[in-house]
Amino acid sequence: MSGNSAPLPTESPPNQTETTPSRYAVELRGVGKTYPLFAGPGDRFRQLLGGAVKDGVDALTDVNLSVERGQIFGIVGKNGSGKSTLLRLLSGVLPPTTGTIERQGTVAALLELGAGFNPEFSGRDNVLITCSLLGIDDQSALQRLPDIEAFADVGAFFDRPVKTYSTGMYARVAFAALAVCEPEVLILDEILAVGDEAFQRKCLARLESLAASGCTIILVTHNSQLVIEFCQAAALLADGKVVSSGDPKTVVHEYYRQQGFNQADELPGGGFAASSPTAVAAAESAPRAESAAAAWYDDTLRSVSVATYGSGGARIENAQICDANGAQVNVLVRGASYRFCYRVQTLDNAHNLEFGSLIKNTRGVELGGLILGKQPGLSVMPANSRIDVAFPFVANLLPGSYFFNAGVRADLNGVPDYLHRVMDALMFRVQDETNHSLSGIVDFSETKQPPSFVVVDS
Amino acid sequence: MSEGSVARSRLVARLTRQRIAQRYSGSLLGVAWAFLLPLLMVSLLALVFGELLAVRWQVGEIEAYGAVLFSGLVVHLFVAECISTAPGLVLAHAHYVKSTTFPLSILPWTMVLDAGFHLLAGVIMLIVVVLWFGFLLQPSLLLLPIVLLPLLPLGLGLGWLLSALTAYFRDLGQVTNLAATAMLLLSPVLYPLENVPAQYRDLYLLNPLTLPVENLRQILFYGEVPEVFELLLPIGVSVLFAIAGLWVFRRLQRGFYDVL
Repeated sequence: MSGNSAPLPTESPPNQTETTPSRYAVELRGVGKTYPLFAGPGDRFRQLLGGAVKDGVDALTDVNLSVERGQIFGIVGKNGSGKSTLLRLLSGVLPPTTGTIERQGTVAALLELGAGFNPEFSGRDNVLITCSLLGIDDQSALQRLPDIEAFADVGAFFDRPVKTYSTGMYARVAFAALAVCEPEVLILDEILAVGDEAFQRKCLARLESLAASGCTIILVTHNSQLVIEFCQAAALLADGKVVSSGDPKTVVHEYYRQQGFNQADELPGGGFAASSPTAVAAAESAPRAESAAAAWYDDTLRSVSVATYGSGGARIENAQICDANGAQVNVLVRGASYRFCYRVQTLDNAHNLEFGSLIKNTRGVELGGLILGKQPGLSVMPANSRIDVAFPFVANLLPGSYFFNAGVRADLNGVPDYLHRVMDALMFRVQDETNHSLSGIVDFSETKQPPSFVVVDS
Repeated sequence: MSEGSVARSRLVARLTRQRIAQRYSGSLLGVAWAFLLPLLMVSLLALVFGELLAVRWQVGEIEAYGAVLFSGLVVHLFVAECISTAPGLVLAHAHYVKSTTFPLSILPWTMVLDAGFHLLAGVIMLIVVVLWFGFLLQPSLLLLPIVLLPLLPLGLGLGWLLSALTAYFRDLGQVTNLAATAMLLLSPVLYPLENVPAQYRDLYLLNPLTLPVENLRQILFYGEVPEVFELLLPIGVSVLFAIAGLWVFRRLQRGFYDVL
């Protein structure tokens, strides 16, 4: 309940160029948060009535951050790095132990699923309460209600008690309420992770238009790609401190680097480390000693995140990578040629079949794919046909773990759609090597012409 | 600052409306229960005490146990409602504490306004019953708002104090209903104060029900204006109690996040 109306300094320094409404929507100076330790509620009671606080847990120390108006600001960091505490301080749920927080305008926060809504009231009633909390009068709240209802798109559930909602529905209604109410600062904690993909896209589009109209958006996410693509600025938290802030790309790379050093010490210089837990678990169980020259098959290297969907008109089987001799491999050599193969069994008659493959890294970034389709031999395919598909490719990838998707599409009611799609159908690794002249994910190097230099002046 | 309080009153109004609507949602008779329930309650008590135990309560010439009992009961029902609701106020809104800046201190307002709505319904039924017993309404009835005024700060104070304390000591919720019953039995609601042995009568003044109930009966049945001191004392004490309750609430509020 504090800090919403932080007064501006009465005498502004002579070199201050900003005009009175600060260009920052949120400013933190030397902010720290210590959670008091207490034996039980009674002990906490004693502390509040003036008893000594013996000890505390430092969740944040000396955080300095400025978020400009109209910016989309991303916060990344590992679990326990203080992200949620920071958001609670930003939104005013908790007061800081030290330092000052200045906020301009109304702040709305969506921090936790299930929180902020009264489970006994209907979605409609909760939305109206949210509007009241954001300082919107009843009349304009009622005017916005149809927009909110349409955006949330939960049908008849809008008038049922929130306790009957699924997490997805909750997120839809909560997000819709805040997005339509247009607060000046909107704070979101991983909230986009629960909706389905279509709703996520809708949310992101809405956030962009909100930002364009001057709303400041602060979000915590584990989706680093989202931060790079979506945010204008970002900060990385580690052990309760801001260790990097500014350009999202730099911040996210620092985040990768930090995770890499903790998880895989065999990282190539500047390279990307495996970060998804499933991938790391699989990679670590693999033997370290590998022959540098030859590809081989590591039985322990298996994708544990296989996911499939589709209409069921066909089935993909036997996805594998083969080397030039036709032997199955999954530990590849950088720069060598392989084939990604799978067999498709049609279960229904299919028209205009298309086959696809896609390489992703462990964070799900789609690196590249090949599509085979629009072929005369594929225009009509009877049920129970079997087709072997092969995608020759060059492993122009830096050492690390990767996934292949496999998919088969055909015209369903005139529109191409997936009969079967297997995400993370198989996992493969590009072998470690001691080449420190490469960085990133993709190997763009020209083998005949290594990097060169000329001293122009000395 | 005033803009903030306008927004807060709007929020209180909305929450109160929803609270009352929710209480009767799905019931056939709906808000009619607010009028029926006190009537049923007073009928039961009048049957037990007036008929079976034969407690007499003369007002002038009229034997009016039911009506006099009812006048005390509407006041008691208000306070009992506050006492039984208050401990759960903050607990029931733990979802607000953890991740919103919801102004928790307004919750007792919604509780008091909800109880006040039921008090109003009770008072309307009371006036009907009083007329039915053959009494005439007196000009002194205009003092009704002042007579009932102390209930507002009393309810708020109970709301702030009990809701904040119960966040730390859940046991409190177990004993408050007992306290409400004690307050009923140890007040001149069910029996006249004159029936109580003289040496205990002053102690009855410690019960916050006593003076408002006695004042209410004076203006309702006797057409008399109560003594100014007896009108103002409960108001003053209740206001001080509410201020103390709010102080405690604000103090303990800082720890809600940690203990909920």
